[in-house]
Amino acid sequence: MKTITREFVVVALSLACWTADAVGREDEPEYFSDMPVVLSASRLTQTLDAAPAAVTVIDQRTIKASGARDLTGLFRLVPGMTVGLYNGRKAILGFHGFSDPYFRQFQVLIDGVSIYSPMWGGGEWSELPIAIEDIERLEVVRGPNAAAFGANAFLGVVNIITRDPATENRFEAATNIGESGIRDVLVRMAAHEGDLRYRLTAGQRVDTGLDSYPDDRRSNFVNLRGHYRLTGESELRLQAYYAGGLTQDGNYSDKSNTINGPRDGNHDLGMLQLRWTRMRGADEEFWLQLFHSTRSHRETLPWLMILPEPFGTWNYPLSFDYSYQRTDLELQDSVRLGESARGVWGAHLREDQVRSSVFFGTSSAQHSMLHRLFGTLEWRPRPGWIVSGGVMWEDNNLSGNSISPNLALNRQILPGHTLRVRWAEGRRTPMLYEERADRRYDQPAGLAAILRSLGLPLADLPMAQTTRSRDALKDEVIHSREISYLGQFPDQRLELDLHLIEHRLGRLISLYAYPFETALGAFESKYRSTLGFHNEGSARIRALSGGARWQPVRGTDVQLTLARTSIDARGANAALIEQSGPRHTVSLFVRHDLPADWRLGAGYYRVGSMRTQSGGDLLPPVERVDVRVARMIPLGSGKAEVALVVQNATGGGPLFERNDVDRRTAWLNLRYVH
Amino acid sequence: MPARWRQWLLAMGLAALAVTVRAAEPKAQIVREESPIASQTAQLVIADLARRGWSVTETIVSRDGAPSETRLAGETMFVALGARALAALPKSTGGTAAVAALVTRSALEEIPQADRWSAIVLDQPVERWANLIQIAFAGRPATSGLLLGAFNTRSMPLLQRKFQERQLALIEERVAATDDVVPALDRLLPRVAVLLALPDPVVHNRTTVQALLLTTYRAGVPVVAYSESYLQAGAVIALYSSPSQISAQVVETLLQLREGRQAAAIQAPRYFTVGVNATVARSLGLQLPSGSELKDRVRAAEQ
Repeated sequence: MKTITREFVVVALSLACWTADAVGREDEPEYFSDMPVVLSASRLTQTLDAAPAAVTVIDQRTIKASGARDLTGLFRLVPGMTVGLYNGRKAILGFHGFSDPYFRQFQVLIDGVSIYSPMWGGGEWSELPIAIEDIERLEVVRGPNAAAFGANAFLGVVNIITRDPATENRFEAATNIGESGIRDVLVRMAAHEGDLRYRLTAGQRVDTGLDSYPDDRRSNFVNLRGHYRLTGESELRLQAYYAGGLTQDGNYSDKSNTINGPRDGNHDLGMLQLRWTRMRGADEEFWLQLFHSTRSHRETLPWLMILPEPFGTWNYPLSFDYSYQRTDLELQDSVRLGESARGVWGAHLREDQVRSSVFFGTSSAQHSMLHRLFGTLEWRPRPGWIVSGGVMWEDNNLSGNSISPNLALNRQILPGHTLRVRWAEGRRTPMLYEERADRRYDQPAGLAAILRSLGLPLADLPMAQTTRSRDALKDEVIHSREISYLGQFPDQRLELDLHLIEHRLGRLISLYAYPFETALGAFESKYRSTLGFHNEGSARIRALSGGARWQPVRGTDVQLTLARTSIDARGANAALIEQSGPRHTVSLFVRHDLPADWRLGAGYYRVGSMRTQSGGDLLPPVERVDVRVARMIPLGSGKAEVALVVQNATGGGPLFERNDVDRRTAWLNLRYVH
Repeated sequence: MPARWRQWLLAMGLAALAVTVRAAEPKAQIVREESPIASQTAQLVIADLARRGWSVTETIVSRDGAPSETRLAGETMFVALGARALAALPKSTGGTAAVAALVTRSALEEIPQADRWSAIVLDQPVERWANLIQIAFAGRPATSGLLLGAFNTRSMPLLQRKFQERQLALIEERVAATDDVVPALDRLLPRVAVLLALPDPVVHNRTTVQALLLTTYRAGVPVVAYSESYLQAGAVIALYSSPSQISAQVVETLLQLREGRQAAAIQAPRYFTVGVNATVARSLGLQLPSGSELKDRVRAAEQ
């Protein structure tokens, strides 16, 4: 990857020099002074009725009013999405099913850069290096969108868009203090000097999670976003992130087999994103980007091995260390093609590298290379008609090359009423862990020597082998058909969104057991097999989901979402897949500004009966109420805010397993903004 | 050699005629600032006048504003392009008519009144802004907002009156320094449907435009601005006069003065452009007429 980095730097510097010599116009009268392009293609969002896919946008006001400490809680506002807890810090996400602590079916991006884990898939949600306050909005694409985002934009895409420093307060400090050991601190500052603007955020998230799990968290994070304007049309943007700290894992109840016993983990995450952008207007933008991230995780499990008599128990500390890094080089060009069409094309090169002795059975790095070319086109042949289409070509060394197309037609049937028909294909590339897992527990050298001296062939076998990939995996595939209605009723200040989908999923990757010889297998049958991954099973998801947003008066916002899902699955894991999503979900969120600078936010969420795909109990329906009450107070030249947040205000429901119950958690949020 | 004499006489007659015609050729001298817009406008004026048989010379006032050596006298008509060019010229035209352009109304107030100057200001007439807002946003809640700095505050009373005449509401927030722009927007945006951007070096500049356009966009409030560059940056509508439109008015004024007709001491821009950033408008969910249709309707309202 050094070559990629070097090439990028050369290209970026050349481009910077090329653009920096443009003539300044600072002497012109105001009427002719040069303004930099601000609302360029990547900063503009499409109205929901013009978008080629169903999108839920969670804006900053909603984010703030929700009182969310963790970003995952906000996904309850996405119709069809479920948010549970594996423990106090690890969320279980699902979207029309497939709920899992390692929810791999959503692509996750921060400001257009994928933070989808190359090792496990999905996002490392509890370790995000950004504060809720850094977020401008969340855009959730509900449905596959591989043509724009590539593989792993399978059931959907989450794009976390952070705030431009230009719109930030100069200084902000905040703290959360409350139950469950919540002790968060946050400091943010932003400045804008001439051609340079930047924001710096530093914070710490601390809590003790749930009483029933070892799930303490102490996570420190820092992030910087800086823009340097080279000319009126071009700028350099640098984003740097660090997150690190302690996360506990395991299970207190795991007494019989302490393979999942309580333990501490430490992680470090660093990310660097450098983007050069040339903006020629609202439709014309070109950018070139280099991204590099590195993450390491250190965790040792004090495994208490219970051996058959007469051996008794044996302490066997196991390292669960792993590390990975990603390097991306990407370019994208948005162009206008005449009066009625515009397009985007781009190319992308990525290398992922993962190391873990315990998960891959070797200390050498596992590589994954990805090449992409894509193009999308939006054509408005006549007023009220929009045809959008796109195609993505990808080639990776794990599952070969593929093409993912999509096509959408938006037809405004009456002013304010739009129908959209969409067809899309997507895929999920096997994770490095799925493709190459070799999770074995070697015998301590001493034991192997004793066995060898006794002439026992067991000496050459691993002591135990829990997972070992042996199949060449193919991409999971999804074919999606969608019909949507989007209605706007300006007189009633009401927006409606109805979305009918049929997803057909194939070649689903699942675990299966096969015989495998181990040393412990000589004594106990459960050690005589191991797990592998294979493409087996299919599913059909049919769902009707929708939302209504009513803003009757300024300062009042009511958002309702509903989803009804049915899943028919085939294959060995059909029952688990069918139960991995609830038949019904409901959310109702209200934001209301009261007199005298009082502000109220309240959410009601109901998730029908379901279980997590990777295990756990079949849980009964769960209801949840979150409330935030805040008051702004002028303080000096700034503003202070005091807020009380109560989550699970009516008492918590069951979590991953029926007997684990989430509980009411309250905290005080104090903030000063200048 | 009578024939030769006749030839000589004819040649001398033609030469005399040529001198007479030469003496009658109109002359203009352009004195302009050293800036790309003044240069572009000067080239347009020169090209137009040359087509009409004028002889035009061009003098550039240096950036340090050193007084020009130019003497205003005789038959030559003068064109000053830019406030610095106007300020650098002698105040008396020596009886010759002269035209100034690329100057703002407020810059003109700071330059001692010269005789026989006709200045074409950059400021669009206040009623033009009111008409534009009324026509473009017909059917929407019509409260407009304005950020007032020291510079654009002078137009406020007249603007208020023109808005009131059209049953349009206009509210303002004061901005004393660049850092006040975002807090002022936070106070203003919840109460308005449109933000009117009128030139003010403190409120609207390369530094503030980023925050201003991002904050208004986030609030779903379209910006109506005063320059093509602002439109490119992300304003939804812009009303402005281009260098070619200004140069056309300069030439028309020169011709009018040469014919001995009076020209107003201060002229508003006669020709203008209305631009619409269709992509930003669409992104905000606005359905707006095209820029040329808006211009025609604004012009019709003026007549």
